Amino acid sequence: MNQVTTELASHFLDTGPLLCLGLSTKATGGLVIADYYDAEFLCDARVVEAVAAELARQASEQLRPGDSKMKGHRKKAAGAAKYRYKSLLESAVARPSPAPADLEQIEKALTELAKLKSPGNTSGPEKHKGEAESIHWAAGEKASLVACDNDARRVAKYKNVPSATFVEVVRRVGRRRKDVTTSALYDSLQAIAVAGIDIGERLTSPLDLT
Amino acid sequence: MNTKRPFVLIIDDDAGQEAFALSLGQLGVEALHTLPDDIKAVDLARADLVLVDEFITDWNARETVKDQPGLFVRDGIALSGVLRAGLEGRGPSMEVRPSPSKAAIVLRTGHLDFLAAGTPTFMRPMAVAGRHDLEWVAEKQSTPAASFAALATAAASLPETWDPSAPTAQLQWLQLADTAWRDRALSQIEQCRPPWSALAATSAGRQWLAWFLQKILPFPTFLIDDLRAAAFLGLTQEGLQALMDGSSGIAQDLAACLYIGQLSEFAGRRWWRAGIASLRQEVLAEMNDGDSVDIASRLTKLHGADLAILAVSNPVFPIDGDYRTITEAVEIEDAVRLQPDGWPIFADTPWLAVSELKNEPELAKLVVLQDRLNFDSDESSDD
Repeated sequence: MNQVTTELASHFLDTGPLLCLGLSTKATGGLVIADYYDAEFLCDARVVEAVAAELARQASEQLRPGDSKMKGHRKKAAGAAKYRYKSLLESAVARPSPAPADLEQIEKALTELAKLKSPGNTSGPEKHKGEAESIHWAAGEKASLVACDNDARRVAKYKNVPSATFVEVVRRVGRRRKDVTTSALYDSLQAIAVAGIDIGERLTSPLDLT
Repeated sequence: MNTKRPFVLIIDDDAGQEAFALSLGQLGVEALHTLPDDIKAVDLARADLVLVDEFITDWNARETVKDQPGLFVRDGIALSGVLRAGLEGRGPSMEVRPSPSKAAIVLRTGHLDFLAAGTPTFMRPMAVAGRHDLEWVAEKQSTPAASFAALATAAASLPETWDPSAPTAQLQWLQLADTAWRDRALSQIEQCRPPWSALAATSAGRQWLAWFLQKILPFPTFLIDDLRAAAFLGLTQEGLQALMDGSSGIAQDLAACLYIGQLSEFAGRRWWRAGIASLRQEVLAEMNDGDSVDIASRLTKLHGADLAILAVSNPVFPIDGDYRTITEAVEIEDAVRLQPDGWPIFADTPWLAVSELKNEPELAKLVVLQDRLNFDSDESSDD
């Protein structure tokens, strides 16, 4: 974490960072992190089909009266990301068929980690398809993973796949760009976190972006 | 090596301040109490810290000029301005070339609430000091003598040279050791915009001291208090203390993050943010990533006994109507960001719990625009 680096190179985006990027485009009067991400790193980004499908599902989720505001923010973020990253999502990498043992092993590891965290959790590998496929392809293509989920990054490390949180991607933006201040980046990240979307790391001050 | 004891000049119309001077004398500084009429240029010139009382009612010589507003020094703040000119050797004409003095002037008053009426309690010393070109404003009754001794020592120890490209003396003043996280700490200091070039040089470092007292120590900046340091590690303050009191290797690593530079006890214990963040990072790396709860569990294991865990996954600390930090953490998505006057942009964001928006109408006015819109708007997607 937090290596002094400006590079990202070839990477697979999980759903979390896409939600962050999507919501950043909805910033009111603030800095749009997605503009900087796109300029610096989008050319090296890829997504897997399961992530594209999860994003589409969240974007089309029907909100009911009484649903949490956070759910509304997620839907908004997913919709914005779906629109902004249309071509990236359309060229999503398909799930290999039949699923190789390696992929199933990753899915199993993610499911077990989730159960460890909340013992009552009965969700199966379906819930972790996006992360699992991203790690699988990243391992095969010597790419990295951008994910906000701790478990995904943990399994990625186990598979020797370098990973970064969304905050770490933004740190790289800060180091590469002279036209944006750390404070502005911090404000935009906090706007996303306040909306209930995981940015992958706890920040309390612009100083945490150093 | 300079063995001269820092000198404190106390200007107060209360004869009882002799005892205060004596108590300072027992804390490693030299102190002299004087009545306003008796201030001597030689004492002023050698002062490292000048403590000025605000309401000076017993001042006979002043009464003789009470019909001459240009001569009538109304209060301690006005006297501070006069003394500052004296310290710097300004005036009476341009023929006298002023020279900056690093002596700090601190208003010592029992009436801060009166002086800063309408200002939230937490911000009062910084607000009054900033407004009147004072290094600090201290409450007479509640500020321990040791704090004044520390101030005098800090002022006396200000570096002589001010070059941001070679801030060796400044980093010595802060006692920033040669640790693995030193560069990160240095970068964080820089982000806090220290006046360490022209402003510091032309004020003999006085601006640096004012910045440190008014913008750094009171707020979570490159130095953080126990509450924030503990939260970085997923612990409560009690948990942090227990970890600190232990004899594990992690306790030693933690001790290395303690701020021991000038004024280290002035506002309570402080930690290097970069040090604590690096410690957190190391623990995370050892356990192959995780969240605050995982870090706390890991620290508990390393400590060898239970530690009080914060149990808030993304903790932020709200402030109350007086801008004082509420020590109970809330989840970030249950809070909104505030933008109070005078709060440094580089400091930790102050927060208000969403549940308090209606109970704290004055704070609710300070919610940043983005968060206000988030919580006011219809949440349905517009895509």
